[in-house]
Parts: sequence; structure tokens; C-alpha cells
Amino acid sequence: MAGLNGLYDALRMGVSALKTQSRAIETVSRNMANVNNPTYSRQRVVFGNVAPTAGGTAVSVDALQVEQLRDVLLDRQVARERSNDAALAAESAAYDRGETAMGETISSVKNPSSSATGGGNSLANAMSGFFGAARQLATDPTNATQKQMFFQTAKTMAERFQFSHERLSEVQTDLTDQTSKDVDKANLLLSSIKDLNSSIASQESSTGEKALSLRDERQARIEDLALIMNFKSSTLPDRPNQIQITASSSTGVDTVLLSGDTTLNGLSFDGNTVQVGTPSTALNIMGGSIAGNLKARDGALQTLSDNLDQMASQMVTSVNAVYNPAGTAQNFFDPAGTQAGTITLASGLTEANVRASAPSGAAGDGTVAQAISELDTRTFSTGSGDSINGTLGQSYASAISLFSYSVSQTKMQHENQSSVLNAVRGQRDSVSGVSLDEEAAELMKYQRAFQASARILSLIDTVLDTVVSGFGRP
Amino acid sequence: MRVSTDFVTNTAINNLRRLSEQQARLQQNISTGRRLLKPSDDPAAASRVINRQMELERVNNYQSAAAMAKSRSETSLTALTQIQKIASRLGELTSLASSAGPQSMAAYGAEAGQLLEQATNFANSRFGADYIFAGTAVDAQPFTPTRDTSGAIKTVAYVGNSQDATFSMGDGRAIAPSPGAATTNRAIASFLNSIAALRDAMNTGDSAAVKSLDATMGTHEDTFVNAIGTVAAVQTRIDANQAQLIGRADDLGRLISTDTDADMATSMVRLTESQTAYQAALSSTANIFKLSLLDYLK
Repeated sequence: MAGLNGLYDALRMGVSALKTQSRAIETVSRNMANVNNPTYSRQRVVFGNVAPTAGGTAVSVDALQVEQLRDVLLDRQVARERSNDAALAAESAAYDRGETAMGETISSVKNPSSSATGGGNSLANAMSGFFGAARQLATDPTNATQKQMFFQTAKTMAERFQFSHERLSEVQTDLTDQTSKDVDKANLLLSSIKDLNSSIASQESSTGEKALSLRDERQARIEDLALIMNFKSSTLPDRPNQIQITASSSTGVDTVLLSGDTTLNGLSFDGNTVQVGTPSTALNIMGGSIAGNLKARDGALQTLSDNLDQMASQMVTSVNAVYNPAGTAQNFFDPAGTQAGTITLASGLTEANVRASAPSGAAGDGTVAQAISELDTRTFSTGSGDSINGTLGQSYASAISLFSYSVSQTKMQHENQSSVLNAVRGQRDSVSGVSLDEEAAELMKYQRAFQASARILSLIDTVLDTVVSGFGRP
Repeated sequence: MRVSTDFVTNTAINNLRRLSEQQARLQQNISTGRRLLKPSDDPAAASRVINRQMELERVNNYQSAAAMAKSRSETSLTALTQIQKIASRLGELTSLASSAGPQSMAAYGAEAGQLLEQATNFANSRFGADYIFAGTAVDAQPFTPTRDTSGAIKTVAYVGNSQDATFSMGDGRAIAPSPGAATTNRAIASFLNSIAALRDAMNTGDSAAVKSLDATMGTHEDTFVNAIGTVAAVQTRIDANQAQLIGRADDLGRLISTDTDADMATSMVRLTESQTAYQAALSSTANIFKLSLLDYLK
């Protein structure tokens, strides 16, 4: 009967092979189904030998495990680069909004005299309009229309300063609100990662196999968190299936945000810095949308706002010094409003009483209007106690240019960073990504193996049938 | 390098998106004719454009002021020319009256009286609503006559001031389109009073007084000839300044254009390049996705 034992071993091998190839085909199917899932990491069946049964000699094949093709280092690099990319994307978007808020468009109009009424959209047009109206009033001081224009352009310019300040402030307030929401979202993600740590530990201890889907999901949450802030992730030495997340404090010390499924320190935002734990530790967040938004808010946008304040201060001080040199007559601008947000015409100044000369000046005296118009080309110096350096126009052009430089530089850096991120993603995809052609080839391989095993089973069945059917025949 | 299906798709999408953006940008440049649309497109150029546009605005203001100064100086010139003609005619009358009899002298006196009215009117000439020989006190008639019971001018007082109205013609450059208020306006008043004295001397047949005024009339005429020369010189300055302003405006317009306007030929060539690359990307992507081992599975 030794020969029949061999047949039974072959039958067992065939069955085992069919099960193994089925598992492999199932894995290939799962890979194909997730071909467009960016968080999915391709899987492979690890084949192995099954020891022969007692007395038998055949070594059959078995699916020892399904492994996930994931490179931890590349995963971390992708998270880091996503964090950098998100910071630059947020900063760039904030600057775009700031640029739109300023309304400074570059016109190719060769003769912008139409903006002399201050009707243009930008502050540059409004300032040009104001000084132009002063110049025209100086040449025609008795013209009531010129006085009206002078008054109205001054009002328009003050409103434009206020408008620019308000729009920039709104963008900055929005960025603060967005950071608060990002911190809330980060807390939810940290909580979710902690839950996943717990689920992975539970599932892997009960099944003895890796919880691949849960690990994929945890990696996806980690990468979502990277869009909000930068951090370091590592596996716990004593529990390799558990993740720890730390962030650098403002003093450069790594502070634990999350450790396995036990420790979770919540983040908070006080309007200036992101803090963690109780007592709170300020974090030095250098990546993700939080870093980008705060950098834009406190960086180029604040610098632009400060520059506008300095220009408004210089405008108010200089015009009042010319219009009311002794400080005893009617001021032109309210001396209390020396910032872009507060600049306004002095109380009591009207179209009817605005003057082109000193209070005692003759009707045709346009010396004060002329002196105001000359402020347009006057060079100020902070070294001499002024608020700005250069002329008002140069100061404005410089402020816009400085801000625009930040806009274009950040955009360029973001484009470069996107290329880096795509390259790193490409490297990771070369390990973890699904290739349909590759899976199709694998499918063919497993299909053929399955067919071969099935054919062997069929053959053995035929042989056994021959044996069984042969019994009892006459 | 192993290439995943998702990587191929993402790469194709990224390339198509980048080429699409490039085409949209070039199309916008071509359709607007502009290279710069917002400051961040070229911050350094934007700064230059803002400064130059503000300067262009000033140059336009100076051009308006120059045109107004020119009109005003022409009005001054016309009035001064008329006053100078009157001074010239009065010089002739003075010579004629010196050797004329009482009846003729009275006739000359009547003409001098008319010329006085006429000269007073010219002295009170206006540019728009402003009196041009009033200094900066342009809202009140500068030469105020006092009349006797018959309505004849006895004396003329100058109630304007000595401050010159100036027009800004460029950064740090100003010009007074009327002759100096301190000299010419007061000379006009003196001239008007001299005419009144001459008329009275003629009416009374006072030959000695008429003769004594002959030199005075000559001096007045010289004053007005000089004033006319001054105004003419001012007009020449205004003309030269206007030419300079026009040149500067052209320069600024050209410089702004250099920074802001798109180079159509370059933009068109780049758009064609970009379109070709886009077509190639579409074609290659479609070809890559068309072929798959899955098609050979049975």
C-alpha cells in the first residue's frame, strides 16, 4: 500500500497548493483593487514549505504570511516632505491672498492720469491722485472744483490706507483661525493614531498576523498629520508595532505627543504658539500648514502691514507739518491716527474750508498745496527721525516689491518642494505602489500554478478511480 | 526603477497640469499683451513700474501746469502788449501836445482820458476768474480807480500784493507766468496815474506839465517793453519745459512698456512649444495606458 500513500501525499500537496495559489490570487486581486489607493501598500504572499506528514516524504507549499512591501525610511521621508510641502503651500496661499487683498495690479497704462482722481484700486494710485490734486490746486488755488478734488483724493487715500490695513488684518485673522482649526484637526488625528495603535496591537496579538489594513490606515493618518505639522515618528523599542510621535519644543527638546496606545498629550494654540501638555510646552513647529500659516502671518504679511503703518505715519506727520506748521490752526489729518488702520482726515476739515495756502494767505496763493505736492518727491530718512527711508512712492514700491518677492520666492520654493515630494513619492511607489502589469503577470503565474495543481488533483482522482473501480470486478 | 501604475498616472497628471498652467499663462500674456499682471510676477520690475507710473503721473501734472502757465502768460502778454501800445500812443500824444494850441491839447486830453479807461481795463485783465496783475490776491480787482463827479478817473490805487503766483513745472522747478508783481504791477499803477496827470495837463493846456511827462511816458513804455520781453522769455522756458516733459513722458512710457508688455513673438513661440509638449504628453500618456498585460489574460 506504500504506492497509495504516495498518491494521498500528492493529493494533500495538491490541495495545499490550490489553497496557497488561491491566497496568492486573492492577494493579487486586493492589490489590483487598490491600484489607485495612495495609502495602500502592495502585498505579497510569502510561500513556504509545509513539513511532510508522519511517514510521508512530500513537502507541500503553503502561504506562510501576507507581507506588506513598505519601506519605513521612505514612509518617514514622505511624511517629512509632505510636511515641508504643506508649509510652503499654506504660506504661498496666504501670500496670494495678501497680494489680492492689496489690490496692487501692474498696469501697462502709459498715461495713468485717469488715476489722478484717486479712483484707481491701489494705494499707489490713491497717493498719486492725492499729490496730483495738490499740484493742480497749487496752480489754480481759486478753483473750487480743484479744492473739492484735493479734499476727495485725500479722503480716498486715507480710506485706501484703511482698506489695505483691514484686508491684510482679515487675512492675518483668517490665518489665526485656520491655525486653531489645524490644531483641532491635529488633535483628532493624534487620537485616531492612538486608537489605531491600540487596534493593531489587539488584532496582531489575537491573529498572530500583521494587521496590514490598519497599518496602512495608521500610515495614512500620520501623513495627514504631516500636512498640519512636522514631527518625528518612531516605533517603540518594546512594542515594534506601536508608534511614538514627538515634536521639537521651542528649546529644542523632543516632546512626546503620542506614545503607543497609552500616552496622548493634546495640542493647544494661544494665538501665537502651539503648545502641548500640562503644564504647557511651546512647540517649535517648522513644517505643515501650521508653520506655513504662522510664518506668513507673522512674516511678510506683518512686515507689509508695518510698512503701511510707517508710510501712513509719515504722510500724516508731513502733511500736517506743512498744512499747520505752528500747530495752532486746523490740521489736515487727524494727528492721533498715525497708522494705516487709523489714518483719517482731521475733524472739521471740509471741502469748503480746505485751503491751498496759509490761513492768512491770499486767494491765489497756492504755496501750501504746492508744499504738500512736493512731499511726493521729498526724501525722508529714519536717521533724521522720519518714519521711512526714501520718498513715499519709493517706500510703497519697496514695500510691495519686498512682499511680492516673498510671494514669488515662496511659490518657486513650493514648486521645487513639490518636485522633491513627487520624487520621494516615486521612490516609495517603486517599493509600495501597485503595478497592474506586474500584478497581471503574477496573476498569470498563480493561475498557471493553480491550473497545474488542479490538473494533478484530477490526475490523482483518475488514478484512484482506476484503483477503486478495479476492486470487485470479475 | 520599478514603476507603479499610480506613479505613471500621477506623473502624467502632474505634467499635463504643469503644461496646462504654462499654456494658460502664455495665453493670458498674449490676449492681454502684458507680461506682468501682478507684482509677484516680477517683483523688481513691479517696483520699477510703480515708481515710474508715479513719476509719469507727476509729469502729466507738470504738463497740465505748463499748459495752464502758457495760457496765463499769453493772457499777460496780450494785456501788456495792449498797455505798451497805449504807452506808445501816449508818447506820441505828449509830443504832439507839446507844440499844440489849447483846443488841440483838449482833444488830446480827451483821447488820453479814453486811453486811461482802456489801460485800466487791460490792467484788470482776468484769466478765468483770476486777475492776472494782482500778485496772488487774484480774487479782487487790483487797480481800483477813484473817479470825480463827471466819472473821470482821478487816481488809480493798486490793491493787489507783491507775491508772484508760481507754477510747478518739474521736480524743484517753478515758473511765474506773469511779470513780477512787485515791479510790473506797481509800474502799471504808476503808469495809470501818469496818464491821469497827462490828461489833466492836456485838458488845462498846461504845456510845461505835458512836456515834463514826456520822459515819464517814455520810461513807462520801456518798462512795459521789458515786461513783455520777460513774459516772452517765460513762454520760451515753458515751451522748452513742455518739450522736456513730453520727452520724459515718452521715455517713462517706453520704460513701463519694456517691463510690463509681453514680447508677442516670444510668447507665441513659447505657446506653440507648450502646445506641442502638451499634445506629446497626451499622446504618450494615452499610448502607455492603452497597452496593458491585462488585455492578454484569458
